[in-house]
Amino acid sequence: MTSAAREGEQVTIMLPRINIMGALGVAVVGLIVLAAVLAPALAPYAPAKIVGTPFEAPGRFLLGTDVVGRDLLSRLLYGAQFTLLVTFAATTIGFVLGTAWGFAAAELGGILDDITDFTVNILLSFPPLMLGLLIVAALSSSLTVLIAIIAFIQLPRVVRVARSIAQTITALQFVEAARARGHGLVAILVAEILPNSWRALGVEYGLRLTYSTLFISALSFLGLGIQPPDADWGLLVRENLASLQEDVYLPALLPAVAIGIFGIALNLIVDWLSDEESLAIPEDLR
Amino acid sequence: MSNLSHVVLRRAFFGVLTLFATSLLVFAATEILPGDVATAILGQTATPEMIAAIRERLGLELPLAQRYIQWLGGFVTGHMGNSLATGADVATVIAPRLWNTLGLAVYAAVVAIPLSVCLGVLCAAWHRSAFDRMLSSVSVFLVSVPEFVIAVILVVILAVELKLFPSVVVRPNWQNPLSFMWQLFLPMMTIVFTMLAHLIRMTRATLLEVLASPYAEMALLKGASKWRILFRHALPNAVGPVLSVIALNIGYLISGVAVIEVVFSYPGLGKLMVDSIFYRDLPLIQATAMIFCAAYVLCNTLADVSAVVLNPRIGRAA
Repeated sequence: MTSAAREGEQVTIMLPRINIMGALGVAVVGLIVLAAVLAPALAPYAPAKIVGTPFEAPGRFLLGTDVVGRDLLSRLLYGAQFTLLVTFAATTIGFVLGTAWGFAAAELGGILDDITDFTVNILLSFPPLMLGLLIVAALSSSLTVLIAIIAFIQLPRVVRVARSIAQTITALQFVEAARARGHGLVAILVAEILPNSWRALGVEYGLRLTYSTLFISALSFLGLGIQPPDADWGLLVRENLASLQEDVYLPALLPAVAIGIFGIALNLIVDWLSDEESLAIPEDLR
Repeated sequence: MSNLSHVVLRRAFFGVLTLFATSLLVFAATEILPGDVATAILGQTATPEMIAAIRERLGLELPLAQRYIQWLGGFVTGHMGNSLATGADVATVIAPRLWNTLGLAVYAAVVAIPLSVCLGVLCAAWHRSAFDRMLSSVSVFLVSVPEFVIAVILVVILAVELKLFPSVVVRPNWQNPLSFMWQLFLPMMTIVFTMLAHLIRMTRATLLEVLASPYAEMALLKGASKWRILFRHALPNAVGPVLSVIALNIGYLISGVAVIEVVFSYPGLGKLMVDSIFYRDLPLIQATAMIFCAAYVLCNTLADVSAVVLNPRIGRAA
């Protein structure tokens, strides 16, 4: 058996055959990312500018106005920036740290592995939203703190998965061979384990993205996430919740639906990526 | 000691350890809350002498470890201090809120559990049918959408458009069960939808696993009907895993219930915690956070223990 990814060798990344739902997921996530990036060009008004009367029906403004008369479309577009920024930044940070930790624990074993197992189990025993609320209460709701909190909450979940993925690989012969060749920890993790686990990790990354979106939306919805006058989609739902009492529902419904569509699209991509069995080990090594 | 009780004891010990860690975390988080507790009580206009006096009275001059032990001791014996905002005894503030949350949770569980087990049985019986496929795609949608989004959609359809149910529940009517159920219909449905997907999926998977086993095949060869095998053989074997998922879901629900209570302005424990964070009402934050974390730990422990105890294979091996 040869190393699937010897140093210098090109790693070919094979995706499962694309299906309709997967393509739909990719397209929707792509469009939302595009809308967020192009928000300054697309938005007709500044997001914090009051341009009309509260809860105007669509007409003069494409989607109507929000609770104080700001353009809803502009707020939604800029809201996407915050939701996406926190989602991607927090997930990526938590994911990179968690993967490194989980891989190292699996490769080194021994006391580090035991400590990892114990720490992860303790961290996973806190109800995540309550943990988030407590930390926000203690530290404030700045953008940096929010990203750090969500990354921290993702950490033990990623460590657990990365560790179990790596455990199936560290026992394989090519890793043994690399150890015998005298390669250091970092070289083994990066050159042997990482190339052989990217797909399982990709699936996990997708799941974590969904989770981060739900999390920041919930925090903001509770008023403890992104702070006004900025707003992500979760805060937009909160701000406009009063519209439901006045029988106008677009201002509260649209950001809620946006969160839902983004979450579903991410999950469609995850389903597509995890379409085949035995993710940890590539075909030729089974 | 038998294998089984060893596993259960180990899990219970870990649960207690986690509770201890929780109390440390809650205490630490509230200790570093921005702004001094004394200033929080007296407001910005307080003179240094007043602050010194109240710090003395609250015991804030004592060493950290001693305060932690006093706080934990008070918590365990039900003396959780007084609310900073109203001065009311924390236990008295919390009790009615706790009942409201429990009432909602029980209402949701009573609807969600039988419903999802029935749907799971149907999915397993009509495996790969259009019904099965439709339910599993609905499940994908439900698990990727946050609770408050489901709540808003339900409110728009059933409260704003059809005007069937109220969209806020400020004062639950405990006197009249029917009116209580009507008031809480939308929050209950929100919880049911968030739990349904996991419960159906688990019931279905467990039943299918049993149906694929040799003894189920044997029963089929003997001429037993599919339904008889499902109810006589498969369902009793599925109780353990399904109970364990139910416990996990209740744990998850505990975390999400704050959001649902805020959507419907429902005076439950979750809304109390969120409000207390806004008002920086430390004793209330500490008490509500401890209750939520303890309940979560308890549910997770029960989930693990029930999975072990009710699994016939592990039980027999012990």
